[in-house]
Amino acid sequence: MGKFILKKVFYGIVILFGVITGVFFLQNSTGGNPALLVGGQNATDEIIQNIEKDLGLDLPLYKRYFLYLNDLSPISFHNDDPESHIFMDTSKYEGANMFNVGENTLYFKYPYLRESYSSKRPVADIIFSTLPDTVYLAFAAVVIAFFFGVVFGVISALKKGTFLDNSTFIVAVAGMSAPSFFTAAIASQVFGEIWSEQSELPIFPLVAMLFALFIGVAAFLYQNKKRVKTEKKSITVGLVSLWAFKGLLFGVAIWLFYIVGYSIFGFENVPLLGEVIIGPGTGLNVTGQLFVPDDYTGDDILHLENLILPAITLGVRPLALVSQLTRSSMLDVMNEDYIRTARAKGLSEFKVVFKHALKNAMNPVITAVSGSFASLLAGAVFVETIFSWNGIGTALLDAINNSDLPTILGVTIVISTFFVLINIIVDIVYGFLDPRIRLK
Amino acid sequence: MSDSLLHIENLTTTFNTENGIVKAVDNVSVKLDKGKILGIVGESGSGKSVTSLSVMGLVQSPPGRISGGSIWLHANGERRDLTKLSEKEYRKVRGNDIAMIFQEPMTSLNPVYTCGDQVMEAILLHDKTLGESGRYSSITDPLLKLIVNGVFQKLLNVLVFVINIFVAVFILTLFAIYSILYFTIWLIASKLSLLGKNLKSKADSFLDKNKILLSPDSGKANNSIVEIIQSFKIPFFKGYSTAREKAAKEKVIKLFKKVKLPRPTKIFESYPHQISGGQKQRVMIAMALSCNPKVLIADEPTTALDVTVQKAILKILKKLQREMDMGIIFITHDLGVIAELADEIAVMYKGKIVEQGSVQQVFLRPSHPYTKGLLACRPPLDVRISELPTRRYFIYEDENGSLVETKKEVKEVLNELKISDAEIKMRRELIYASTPLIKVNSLKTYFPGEKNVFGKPIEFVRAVDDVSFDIYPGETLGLVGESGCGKTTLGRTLLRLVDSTDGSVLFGGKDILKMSKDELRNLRKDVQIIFQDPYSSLNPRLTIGEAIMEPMRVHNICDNEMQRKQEVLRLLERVGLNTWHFDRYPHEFSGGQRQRICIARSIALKPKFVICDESVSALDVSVQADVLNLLNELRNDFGLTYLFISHDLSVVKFMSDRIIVMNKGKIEEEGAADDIYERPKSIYTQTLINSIPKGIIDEIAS
Repeated sequence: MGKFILKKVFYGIVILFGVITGVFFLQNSTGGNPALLVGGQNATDEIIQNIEKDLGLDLPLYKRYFLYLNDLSPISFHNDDPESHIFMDTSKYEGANMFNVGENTLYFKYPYLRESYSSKRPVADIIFSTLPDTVYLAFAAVVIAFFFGVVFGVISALKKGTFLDNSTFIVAVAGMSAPSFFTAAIASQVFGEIWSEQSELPIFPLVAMLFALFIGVAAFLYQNKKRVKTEKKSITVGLVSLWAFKGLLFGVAIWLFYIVGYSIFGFENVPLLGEVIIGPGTGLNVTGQLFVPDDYTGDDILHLENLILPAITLGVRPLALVSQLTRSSMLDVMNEDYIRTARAKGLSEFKVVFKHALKNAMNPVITAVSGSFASLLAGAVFVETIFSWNGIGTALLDAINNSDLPTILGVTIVISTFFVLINIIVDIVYGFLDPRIRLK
Repeated sequence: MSDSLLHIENLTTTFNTENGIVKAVDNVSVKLDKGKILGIVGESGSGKSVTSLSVMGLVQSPPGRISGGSIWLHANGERRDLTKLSEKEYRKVRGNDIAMIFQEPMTSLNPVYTCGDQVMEAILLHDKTLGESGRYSSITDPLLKLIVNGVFQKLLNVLVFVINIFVAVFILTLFAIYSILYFTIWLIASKLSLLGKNLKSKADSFLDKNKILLSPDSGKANNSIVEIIQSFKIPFFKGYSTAREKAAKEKVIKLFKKVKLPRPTKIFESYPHQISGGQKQRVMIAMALSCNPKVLIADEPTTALDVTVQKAILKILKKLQREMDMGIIFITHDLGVIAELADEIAVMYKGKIVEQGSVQQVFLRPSHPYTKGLLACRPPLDVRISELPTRRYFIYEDENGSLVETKKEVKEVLNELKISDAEIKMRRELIYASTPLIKVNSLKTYFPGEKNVFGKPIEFVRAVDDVSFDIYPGETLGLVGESGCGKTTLGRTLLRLVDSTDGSVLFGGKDILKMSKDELRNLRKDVQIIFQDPYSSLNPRLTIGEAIMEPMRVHNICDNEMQRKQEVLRLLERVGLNTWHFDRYPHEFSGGQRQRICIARSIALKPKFVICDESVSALDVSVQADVLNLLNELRNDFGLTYLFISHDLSVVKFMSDRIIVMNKGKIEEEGAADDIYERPKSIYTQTLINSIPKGIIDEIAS
């Protein structure tokens, strides 16, 4: 196990190294002089030259590259010469010296990500001020996706080919294909703006649901009264609630048609169809961040409700993926011999599904979830922008717009580190789920 | 109304398929008495498994449905019709009153739970009174478990983990200081002989003992640093288990001892993939017996196992059946197995029971031609016959399409087909006069086992270990051994499908192991292989014709497509299929037909040498007989040479002129087929022969 993790960490470092090298050279080859950006519009040539010298931009590319690596590495060379590019500046570096190598000293320090060209803030500060919000958002989205995705997947696998299965499939396809900026904008507008104070719930679907429910209950009572016990389809409580659900969906579908027609052709308000009940508002905001400073005291106050809309918007896509993967792998597992064994033991269907089948079906799902989580950590630029979420995606976008090399590199390194870490964790989780691939 | 333990009365189970309703079980009535074993025999598709699943109430619905009849279970003093039970009531019967053992031990255990847990689950489910100590213990105990396992176990284990790491680091540091100290002393002592020889030799001997730090890998078990650290490791807290669970665990270990599992406490905590197939089947038996069932259904429990393992499992089943006074329904396609075990036999064919009676009755006076066919088609061990008698010796269709029964007895047929000793001798002289087609010389195939830090293997699994033999043109060489003995690896090494480690394989004077890629491609034309699993060795997206024509095209057999097609059609007829099968896809064929297709595909290249790697092991006995006969005919027609690999000694003996017995990668014994069977020299061969189920009629009679 230890050997395996060490190997993975080693591969991870190699990958990180490749990423750093690639991004560094790509970004430097795009042209443009960062010194102009730092100096501002009124800088003279002399100032520009000084800035270039200060930032080491006058050096050849390969030297700049090695200097960057030297800054980044936890074990690095520095000296006491203030003019040198590797001067041990205590305002930048924090660490302890180990021993002298020639005229330089070998130091053990925290990796230094340099300063942003545009804002002059240390890149580490920028990352650490934006990263937590992104992590919370990604985590919330993945939890939603995983929980609901697995539940929907299991239901549609068990009820294969039925109404429930087909409707989850339609929802999944819609979730996969709707672009996130679109869903984000709609969600933000509807739940944050229109229904924020008070919600206007359409009455028609509700009536349809009640109607279906009424018929269902009536049929149920009739059956019990007559004691009609046909072999197969006796009406159960579950069946009645399914009818009610179908009624609700049917109602929603008709109402949506009506709304579209109403808004496009502007025909008259049909009684019943257009009626709404005024319900309590959602109380959500159009945009917002997780921590909002209080107007008077200036303390950060947690606003958890601001997490709801962006998390759901972000979670829809992985949710669709997870539910379809769970479905297909559950279908495979339910045909396995050991499920038959579990049934032959006399276990209840619930235990068979959730104890014996689900654990076996989880591996592909874990892969999908971890992949989505890692890519959400890289920042969801659209969603973050629409909800004004102060995340790493926004920070990266700003940096790219300003060709702010240190920030781009810093953010990239942090994101790739996350990818590597998550992959290692997932490999360990596989072992927990399936002892056959548990590593010795 | 009878007092039978289990009485299946006019049971009909149907399946809704695309082609309408299919009756998988058609009006079947059998009775099982207490303490008796009922054998149900039939080939695959005869409905014997569906019968058992119907009894268990496990027929998948839809598409399956029990459409008629009743299943009476006489248990716990009452008689109930199982078909009328609700799902909830049925669950109390399953595993408790009726238990089942399945065919595939490899896949019948859940891979993500330990064997012990899976057996325990059944006990905890059905035995409600187990280990109850007080009135409230059924509530307090699980509650305590929840609290302890939910909170304390996790905290404690984190603590244990941290302590373990500290201990490991501490020991490592100690060792570092220790050896640096002594290394310095040794340096000083060796540089300055001033200190005298005494001290130097002392330091030398110390370093000899403590090589660990200098080369961690070289250490033996007792002084490798990893081992030392591991000996200091505190084990993780496994969690609190309730009194019921403790009692259940004890019971499971007792059961494991009963089914003769080695190291029961170890296996309790092993996962299914860590134990062998035979052991898995024993765990399955323990699971089935865990709640003292009245009826045990064993659905081909030994078909997937080696003969020696099969013998042991059957012995255990028989013993436990007597001990616990159970009724067993034993389902198999192999009459030989059932002769040793059952009291009564029911023969099933196409969903119906065609013959039913006591073992003596069915074996000595079989009335139905199908039963006769089943009895006769198992390769006999005592005589040599030219062809295995199949069903068509007893019943066949005449020109008008009506069935004709021959009324022949099994013994008569066997006598007709017998080959005389003189014929055998002549054939042997003819074959062994020529020069060998293949000479295998000290062939070795090793697989890397354990690896060191740098990925370099330090241990090898010796799959084929120094094996030499010759194969003569026109002969069939049998290769027999238990699973894992290296026989399949040997076959694949001969074809260069697996890389060898050392040795040579001369084919017509050329070393196969040193051939270039082009030469190898030509070799593939001369040397063909027929694999074990006919289901996965055909591409499901190629028609049969395409599948056979593809290699012909690669090797430029025939001049054009037209001729090739003609040739394939001819081949299809030759192997007993029809010409209109040409455009069909593999899923439309049964296992035996698929194996015929595979045979046609390899014969199409007109090879000289064919390796049959367990080619008939996946098939039923009757289908197996047909395929074996076909292989023999083809050998005589095309002048083929076979290397026939199988774990079934009776099949190998029927097919082969000579037999090689393999064990643990080495050749145990080699000789003429009859010699090996009649006068086995090695103990291993003797055990193999003794384990073959004796389905022979004489033995029953005596």
